[in-house]
Amino acid sequence: MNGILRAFARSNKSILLSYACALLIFVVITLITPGFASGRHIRILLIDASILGLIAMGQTLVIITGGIDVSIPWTVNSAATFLTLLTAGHDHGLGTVIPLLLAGTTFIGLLNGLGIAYLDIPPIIMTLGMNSVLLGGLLGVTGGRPGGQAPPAIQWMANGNVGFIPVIVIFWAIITFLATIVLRKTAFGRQLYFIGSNENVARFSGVDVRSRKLIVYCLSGFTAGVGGILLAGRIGLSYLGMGDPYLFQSVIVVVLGGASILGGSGQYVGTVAGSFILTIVKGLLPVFNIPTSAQQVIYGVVLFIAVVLTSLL
Amino acid sequence: MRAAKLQPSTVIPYVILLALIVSTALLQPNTVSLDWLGIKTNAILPLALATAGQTLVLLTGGIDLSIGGVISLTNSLEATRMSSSVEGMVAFTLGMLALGALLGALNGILIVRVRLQPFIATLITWSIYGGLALWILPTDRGNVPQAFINVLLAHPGGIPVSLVLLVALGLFWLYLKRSPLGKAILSLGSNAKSAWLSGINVDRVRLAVYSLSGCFAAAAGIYRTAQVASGSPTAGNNFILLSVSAAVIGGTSLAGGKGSLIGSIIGVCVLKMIGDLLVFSGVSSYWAALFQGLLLIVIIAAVSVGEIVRRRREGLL
Repeated sequence: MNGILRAFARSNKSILLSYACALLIFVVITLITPGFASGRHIRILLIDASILGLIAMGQTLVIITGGIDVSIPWTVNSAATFLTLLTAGHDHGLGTVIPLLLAGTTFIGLLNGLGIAYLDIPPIIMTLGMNSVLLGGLLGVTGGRPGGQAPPAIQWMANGNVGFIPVIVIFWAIITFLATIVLRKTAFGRQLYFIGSNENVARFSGVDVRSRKLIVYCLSGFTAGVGGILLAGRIGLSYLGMGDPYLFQSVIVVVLGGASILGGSGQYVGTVAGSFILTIVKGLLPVFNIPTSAQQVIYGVVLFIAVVLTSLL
Repeated sequence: MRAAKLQPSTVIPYVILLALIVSTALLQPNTVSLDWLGIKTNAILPLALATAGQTLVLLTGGIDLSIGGVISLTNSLEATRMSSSVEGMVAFTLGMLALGALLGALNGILIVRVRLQPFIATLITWSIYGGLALWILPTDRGNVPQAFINVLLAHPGGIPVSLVLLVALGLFWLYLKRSPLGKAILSLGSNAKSAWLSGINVDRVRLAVYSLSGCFAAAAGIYRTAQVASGSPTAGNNFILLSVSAAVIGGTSLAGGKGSLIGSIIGVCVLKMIGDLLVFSGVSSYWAALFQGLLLIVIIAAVSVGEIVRRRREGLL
């Protein structure tokens, strides 16, 4: 048992470091600011980290293959807006609306994947264009008006409890488990790392690089859709621009979790740690009276530090 | 140099622009005039400047996402911090150009020294520069001296200042193309390794290109301030996508090594005319972003398909 643990520690140095970082930041902040570690506040932090982590799940897979998805913000926004528009704040019809929304966001990912994998369009360009298409589409459809209320059932999924544990945290734990199994134990998972470390070698070794990339971008659209629905539930409504923070945040948490931005490495459990770190840091800003406008500067600096650190480790 | 065979990608933008001008003249008679030209050159100059910088970066095989932040930042600063005395305005504007070059040089350092990929280095600085813009100016507003606007939007003798600047941009390219730096940029983009082997200081060229891009982005931010008579902390974000689109329409390759700044200016004109035609046909401006994104994807896809077809044909021959 001890040997297994030591082997795990050796092969996951950067991930363990991420968790140590999260814990350290949390302890330090708790000592400085009373009330930060109150049960209520921890619960809020956990819920926010869950939504961020779920949105960044697809981004993790995309970055492992050496790509990037910057269409996540308006994919999230599309799911949230259409949830509130199609349900008009009621629970009935959710059984058809949710599959429809997830199919829609997966289709967005499919289009990204087709352009990137089959037409060799650089990921940053393809997804930047897609983000603009979705932004314009949503503005056009809504006429610039904010959407309505999120259905109560979705609000419960994002804010409610089972026993004393938030529903969304249980959901996130299950997803984390599944993602870890897929990445570590399946051929598909190993192929993603292979593609990310050297695409040409992967291709010549018989990996179907194109179909793998296609699936990865579809998954990114899917998880952005899941995150968008839950975000609408968390806030209780939808508005235009609600996904924008996730452009930088989804990349930051993946890199904070020890993944190389060049592809070929990274674990979803690392992204989970990254989500904790970023959520705690975000919770810290109001404590030190840092204006929200400065958040973006901090994101840039954190991303820089994370990219440099992961390239050194 | 020998006159190279005309590539379709260098001719196509001119043909499209001509077709758009003709169709505009037919759809809206009596609009195409010198006044019209002045209004159009005023409108396209910020994007033309931003695209000029982006083109230089694309020629080296990189990309500059941070121009979004640089334009927002210089626009916000010009609209809120500039004094209204003549010396003050001149000094402040020159300072903004220097700031742009400095912010661009920082990108260059991240890429050359820290060895970050261009897209991640400029994603980081886009976030930081854009955040600084939001810090300086949380919402759209500003107080721009009237004299500043009058000078930049002037048209002495009927010729708009913006047209003069646009022509100057074209001449700058003709000079740059023949200069050692220009040749180094083009050879770096076609093959970085052989450029390095032939004794080009690759790092210094990259640094110069990103500094120039920052400086051009600052110029775009400055001109936008006069054009809109206001500042916006998010004004620049739209320029990222449009500058890449315009450069690609103008025949610049995303892989580097191929393209021209004059082609990019034509690309900007094409984008502007398409936008005008959409407005003329009654499409709500809410949909603008959708068409801009779609256009980028379609053009790049077309270029890619053309490339794949060409490679197949060469493989067969």
